[in-house]
Amino acid sequence: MKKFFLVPALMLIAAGLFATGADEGEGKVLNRYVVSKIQPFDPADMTDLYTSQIYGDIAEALFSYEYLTDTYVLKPEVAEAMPEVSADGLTYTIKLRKDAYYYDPLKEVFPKGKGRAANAHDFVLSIKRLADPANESGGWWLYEGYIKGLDEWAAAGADYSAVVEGFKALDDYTLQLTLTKPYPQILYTLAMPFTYPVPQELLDTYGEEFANYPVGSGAYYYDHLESIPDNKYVLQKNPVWRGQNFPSAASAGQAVTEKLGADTLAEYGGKALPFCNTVVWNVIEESSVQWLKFLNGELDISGIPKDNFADTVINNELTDEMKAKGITLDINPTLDVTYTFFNMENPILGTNEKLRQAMSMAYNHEKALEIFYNFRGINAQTLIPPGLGGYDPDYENPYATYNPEKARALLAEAGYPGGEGLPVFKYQMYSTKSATHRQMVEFFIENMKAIGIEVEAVAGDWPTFLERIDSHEVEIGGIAWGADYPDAQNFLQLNYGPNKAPGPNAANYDNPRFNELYEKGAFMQQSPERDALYAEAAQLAAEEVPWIMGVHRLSYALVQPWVKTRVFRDIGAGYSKYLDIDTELRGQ
Amino acid sequence: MVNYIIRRLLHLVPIILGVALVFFLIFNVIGGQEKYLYNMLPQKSRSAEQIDYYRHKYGLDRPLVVQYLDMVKQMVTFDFGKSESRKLPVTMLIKRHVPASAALTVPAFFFEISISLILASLAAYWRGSWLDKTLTVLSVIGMSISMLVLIMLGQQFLAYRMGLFPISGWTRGIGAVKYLLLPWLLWVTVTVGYDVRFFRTTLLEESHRDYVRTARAKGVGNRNIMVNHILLNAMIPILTYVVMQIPFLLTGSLLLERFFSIPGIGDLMVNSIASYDLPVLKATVMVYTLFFVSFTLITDILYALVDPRVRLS
Repeated sequence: MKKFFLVPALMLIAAGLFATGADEGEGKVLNRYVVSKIQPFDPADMTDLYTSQIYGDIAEALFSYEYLTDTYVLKPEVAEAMPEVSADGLTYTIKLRKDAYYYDPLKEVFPKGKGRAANAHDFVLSIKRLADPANESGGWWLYEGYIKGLDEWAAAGADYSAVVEGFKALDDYTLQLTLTKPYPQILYTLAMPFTYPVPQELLDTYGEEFANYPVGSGAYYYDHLESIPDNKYVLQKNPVWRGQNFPSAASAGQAVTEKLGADTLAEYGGKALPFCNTVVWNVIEESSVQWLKFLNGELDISGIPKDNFADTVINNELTDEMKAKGITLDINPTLDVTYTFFNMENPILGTNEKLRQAMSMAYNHEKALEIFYNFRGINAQTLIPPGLGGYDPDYENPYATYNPEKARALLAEAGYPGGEGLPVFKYQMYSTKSATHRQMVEFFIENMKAIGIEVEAVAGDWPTFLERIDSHEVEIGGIAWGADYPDAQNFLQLNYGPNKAPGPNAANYDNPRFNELYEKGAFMQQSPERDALYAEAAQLAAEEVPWIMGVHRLSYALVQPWVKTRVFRDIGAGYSKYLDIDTELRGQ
Repeated sequence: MVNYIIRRLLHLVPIILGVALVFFLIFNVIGGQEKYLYNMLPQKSRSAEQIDYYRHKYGLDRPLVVQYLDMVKQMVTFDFGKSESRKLPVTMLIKRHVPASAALTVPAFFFEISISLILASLAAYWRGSWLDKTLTVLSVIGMSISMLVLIMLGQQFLAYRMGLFPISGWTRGIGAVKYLLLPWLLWVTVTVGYDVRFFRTTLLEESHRDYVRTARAKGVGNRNIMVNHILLNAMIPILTYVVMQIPFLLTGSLLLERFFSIPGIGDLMVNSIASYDLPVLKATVMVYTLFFVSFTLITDILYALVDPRVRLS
């Protein structure tokens, strides 16, 4: 009998021996996390934020973003310099550096481990793979219709041996892009993970399964031995990386300087990257587990789960308990917008501007920010979030504020006093499982009811929601948009007439003046004139109310005291190399 | 006996065909494959042509009879094609995830069954005593607490606050044991109550049989009766119960795998739903069913071995 009591005792003793905190290997280990499963590393399929974060540490695009600037500024990465652009804005010539060597830890693709340098042919292959219909790439929309000959190449059967006139290698290290129309945003797209180079040798070695064996020229390589797919992705310092230095203090923006401190910037400026030998990306799908692991020091940076927010942050300040641990709170605006859209093809909603304005003023924007976001956002005035050209901090949307009296007056002016004569509108839900979504829909319905407008919820899941948007059947729906690249055009396209569903314009809004401003601005290089056009277009749409504006969400991150050089970046990937940790402090 | 086994194996044929038919109806006819195909595609690049492409790729544009036979073939050959989201053969994914699930469930299961059997025997032996009553109360409490609550309490107090176990994690080889200790403990805590109650009832039923009374009349001691008569005879229903639980071990414990970041087969199945990975979803469900059918067969054979009357019937 004693043996049976001995077993649990041994279990506990063993547990004590085995229990551990942060996973310390040799050298500095950076412990990060993602909240969902990781997809294979195929650039053509890089629609998932978390996968691209990890892939961004392994692979490099032609361009990337400066680390210390307050706004998102492009810099050359595998490109040797920023491109030469022809006067008509249609031809881009990009020189590539010759030392962006691939590293293959398995030595299957490149037998010596160190491979050849990424070249222009690799980037051509990547863009062709986006265009190839067989890959159903989520990144094709970025290039569709913009690159001379590429659409035709895809339509003709995607023959990879054929040259595409608008995207070709002039020599091994020179790329030339020829556009069908001006598209200044194309430079941003060349910083996206969709365009990471794929060496032909990788495809030849692994065929369809190549995305499970990533090979890149980035600061880290994928450690197949230590990684466990679906559990943790371990990256090790790339021994053949060409090297880079931490940016100088002079390149830092004012806000970044204030956050990191001039001393830190001075200390790190010019130091060789990467600082950590190992980056461990843990897959943690449960927020309660992520939270405990952060509190236990097993994660270096963390978001704040909704359930823990009230106990952690009071009036945008950390609680004393958290402060005592040396943890810091980093609040930053994200490049996104949430909104409720009206189907502008609906015979009542689409034709009656005052009705839409009334509904927008009947919606309690301020209360929604409080109850659904814990004040973790700012009420949107237009669709352009702060931080992008075209955002006007002084502009106040007259209809993006709660005023039930004014809403009732507008409703009467619209021809429906007290809502009389209006049908029951249908609000299409995108999930019946999400409690928050259900509450948001109920909140909307109650707000409308208060001025006499009847709205009923229509149950549905995400695919149903998208299907009904595409078939223009949704009368009212709620959705969000996050930036693909830091240009307001990426948001304005959501109201651009030719982009009606199944394009991204779910409201099917089509205003000739807006379209004109969009077309003019979207094709211009960044300038104050372009920003003014963007602002005018955004304000025009805001006051015509195809959308009820929601919020631009704020990012709340907690940072352990031993993390030294963390700067919030909402766009781009490959930032792990800039992060340093103080192992001595972590040990304490 | 050989005839019996052959007969039982032949019975498997209509069962597998029937199961394949049910799956076929669910996945290929009424299960909303259109929706799956639609959602598999990236939002910004969906089109009718691409849906048609997938329909063709999965053979969903072929006659229904051909699709059905294809599904039967997949079940028989264990070749489920490639995962759409992972770009790897489904069989490879299953092989990769089964060990983690097995490492979680098999030791916990046998540990729990042993404890339950001992506790149930004690309770049955001293029926009506304080020990029996205490075990009954504890069993009911154990059955009443949900796994989710226990996991959260275990991670919060035993792992985070007391530091007895890692909060979550996984590694290859023997090192994984440290990450399994708390999940094992929680598994045993949740399941032991139900099994103690079941085994105790089985043992008590057996203790009222005529042969027990006869043994007592002959002067055989209580301990001897319990160990050599009651326990042995109760083994038939207990073994049946235990063997029938084994297929469930393959699928792991979804909650434990998710909260403890254990890359098991349950986790794979749930993620195949989330990522609309039709081949993986079909394969995991089919494999589970095949295991269930196989273990039913094993149970029947064991019955026949233990009790010759089964063979004759």
